[in-house]
Amino acid sequence: MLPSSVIEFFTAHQDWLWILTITIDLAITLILYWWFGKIGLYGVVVLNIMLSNLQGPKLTVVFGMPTSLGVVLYSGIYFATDLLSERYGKLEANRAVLLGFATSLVLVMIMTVSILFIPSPQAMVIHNAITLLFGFTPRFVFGSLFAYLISQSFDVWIFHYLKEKTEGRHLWFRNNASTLLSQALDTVLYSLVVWWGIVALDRAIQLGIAKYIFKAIIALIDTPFIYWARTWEVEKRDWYDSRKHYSKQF
Amino acid sequence: MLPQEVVDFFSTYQDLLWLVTVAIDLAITLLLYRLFGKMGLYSIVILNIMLSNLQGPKITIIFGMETSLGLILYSGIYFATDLLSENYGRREANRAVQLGFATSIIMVIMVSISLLFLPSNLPETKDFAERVHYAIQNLFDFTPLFVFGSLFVYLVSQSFDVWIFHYIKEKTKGKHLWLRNNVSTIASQSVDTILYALIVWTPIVGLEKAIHLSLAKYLFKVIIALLDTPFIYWARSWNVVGKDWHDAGDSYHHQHPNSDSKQKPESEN
Repeated sequence: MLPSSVIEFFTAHQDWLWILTITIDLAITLILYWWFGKIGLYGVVVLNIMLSNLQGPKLTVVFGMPTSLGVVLYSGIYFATDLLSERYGKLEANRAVLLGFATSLVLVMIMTVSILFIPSPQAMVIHNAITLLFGFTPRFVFGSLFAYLISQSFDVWIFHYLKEKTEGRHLWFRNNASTLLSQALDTVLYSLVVWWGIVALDRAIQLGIAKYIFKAIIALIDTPFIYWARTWEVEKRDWYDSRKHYSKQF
Repeated sequence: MLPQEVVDFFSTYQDLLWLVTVAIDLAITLLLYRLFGKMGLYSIVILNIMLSNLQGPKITIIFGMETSLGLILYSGIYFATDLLSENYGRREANRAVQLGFATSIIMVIMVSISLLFLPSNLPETKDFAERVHYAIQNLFDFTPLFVFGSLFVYLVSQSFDVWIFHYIKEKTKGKHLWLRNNVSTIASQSVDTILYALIVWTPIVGLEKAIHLSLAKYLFKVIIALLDTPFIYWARSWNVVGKDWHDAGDSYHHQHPNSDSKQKPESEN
């Protein structure tokens, strides 16, 4: 899809590409929020969890450290739920987390069933690609879903805990503290469930720390943007048609 | 992930597997609607468009005909938008179509960028990382024609679906749900199939082959459209007002910092 000059440039500058990817993911969240209001943020949660499942196994080296591309998209979820928390409150943020959990389960289910279909000869390459990317082990599925649900729910809880304690001041504090703490929880839980017994403990810690550094960078970068997005007037986008209202017409 | 007996069973009965997949997709839509109300239907639109992008190139043979697995998930979108249309009206259904359009564009952008990342060259992960890289490349080997073609076709046919659904609803004064559910989906799926064949396939395989492929595809789409009819009647009767609560940002802001947010937001009764 992309012109080859672009491809060559970013092949040589992988670190820039990583920063660009974060920027684009952040920009997309803001654009969807701007256009669709609250529902746009729900969309971002669903979108990012699905794309991070897809990109999870894609390993690359950025700033000299190995990392999975799924990390960028997964971290984007925290920005979306923090913005939902700030603007619309705890209940909405929790619903978005649960909806992301449900869609992640659905993704696993649909992909697992789809692998059972025997490809026609010309689609063999595609079949093998899907099997490689979505041939999840039960342990991996359980570990990542479990880590997601616990850490995101914790994120919403601690965000509001801090908001109450600080009487609604210092948005930067609750935004960063909630994400940094819950990402730490996420990394520890994931490492324990998925890596325990497979890789040695010191290796697991090493991988976990590398992953956490990237997550922390992403968490800090989004701070000015949550201040900006908080001030937007999106009330016009947040209309909703209730069933009662609508069915009166007939 | 699945036990070997299940794998063996379905590798023999592929036609049954196809029906099971259609049933699962329908069940998931109903379940998400039940659990999350309107928001569940929005998610279904996003979910299905993304999964159908992913499954699009997976070609398989069902009932002796070649078909893409993406078709089942793509067809599921029509059920979700019809249910949204029926219960919440045109505006909500159109917004879901547009949100699906936006997420589809985002998926293309994010995956295209991700392919620019070189796979890890560390000795222990090199082999796996390269295989994953090429797997993603094979799955998302989109040409611009394909991307713009399918996005355009999606937007036109789904918007047409919402429009004709409400046109029929007005003409029939809200009676005969089965008629608008089926006619809107079958008509808009034919718009979808024809446009897609002309824009995406004809330049690649020629008009004759494109028509041939489309007829098989359309047949499957019609079957799926008809199958969902009893379920839209069922889902219409559900009382999900408890799930359709809506926390306005405004009211939440006013609460703070003097009161905490334990108060349940207003739900419609």
